[in-house]
Amino acid sequence: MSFLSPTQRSLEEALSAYVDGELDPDAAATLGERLVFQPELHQRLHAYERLDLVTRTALAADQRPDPAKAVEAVVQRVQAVAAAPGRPAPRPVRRPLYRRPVFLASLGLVVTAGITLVELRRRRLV
Amino acid sequence: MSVTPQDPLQASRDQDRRRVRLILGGDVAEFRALVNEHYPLAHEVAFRILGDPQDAEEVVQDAFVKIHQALDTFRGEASLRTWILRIVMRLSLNRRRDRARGSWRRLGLHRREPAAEFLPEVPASATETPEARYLSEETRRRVRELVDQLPDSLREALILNSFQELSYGEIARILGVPLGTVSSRIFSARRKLLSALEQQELL
Repeated sequence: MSFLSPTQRSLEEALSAYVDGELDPDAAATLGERLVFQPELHQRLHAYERLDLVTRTALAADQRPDPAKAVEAVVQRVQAVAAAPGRPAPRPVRRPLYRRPVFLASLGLVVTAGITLVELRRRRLV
Repeated sequence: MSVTPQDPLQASRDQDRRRVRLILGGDVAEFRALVNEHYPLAHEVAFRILGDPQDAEEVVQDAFVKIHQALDTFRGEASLRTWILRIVMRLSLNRRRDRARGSWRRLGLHRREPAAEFLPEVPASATETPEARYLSEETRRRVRELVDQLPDSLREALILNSFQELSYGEIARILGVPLGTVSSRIFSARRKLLSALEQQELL
C-alpha cells in the first residue's frame, strides 16, 4: 500500500465519503467539479464504489432467519427471564478472623505493648 | 389555523419514548413490535461481526433480554435503533473476543458452514439472499478474511458502514466517537481492502 501525502489522503478520504453521500453540499460540489476534469480521480472513485458494493455483498449473511420465528423466540425468552423467580441474594462472605483489619491492628498493638513492657522490666524501670 | 409541522427527528424521539413507556407498562404486543422492527438489522450487524449465524442469533437474543431489562434507563437522547445497535455491537464484540481467546479460533471450530448448521433450526422459508448469489464464493471468503484481519476499530466502522441505512452520524453515536473519526476509520479500512483486493485481482 503506497504512502499518501496529507493532501492526497484528504482527497481520497473525500472520495470515500462521497461514495457514502456523506460530504457536505459544498465539498461535494467542489469534488464533483474535479471529477469532471481529472479522469484518474474518477477511476479512484469507481474503485471505491466497486469496493463498497463488494464489501456490502460479501459481508451480508448467506441466509436470514425466518423473521416471525426469530421474533417469537426472542419474546418468549424475554418473558421467561422476566418471569423467573429472583435468585436469593448471595450470602456475604465472612473473612477469617486472622484476615480482618481490626483484629490485625489490635494484635499489632498487643505485641508492641508486650515488647515495650519486657524492655522496661529489663531496664528495671517498671 | 395553520399547524406547525413537527420536526421529524423530534417526532421519532417522541414515538420511541412512547413505545418504551408502553413496554415498561407491560405491553407485550408493543415489545413484540419493537423486536419485529429491529431484529433484522440487529441480527445482520451481529452476523457481520461474528461471521456465524448461530452465534449471531444467540447474541441478538441476549441483547434483547438486556434491552428489555434496561428499558427504564432509555432516555431518548439517541434513537431506540442507535441504543439497540450499541448493545448488539457490544455483545457481539465481547463474543468475538471470547471466541478469539479460546482455542476455537486456532482450530477453526468457529467457522461453521451456514448451510449445514443453520438450516435444521430454520424453517424452509429462510432463503438464500440475493447478495449470496452475486459474488463468487472465493471472493466473498477473501473479502471476509480481509475484513476479519483489520484492526478492531477499523473493522467495526466498516461493518456498520456496510448498512446503507446507517449514516456516519449514527455510526458515530453507536461507537461513541466523533464523526471525523468515523470517516477516517472507514477510509483507512477501505484503503487496506482496496490495496489487498487489487493486488489479488479480485476487484
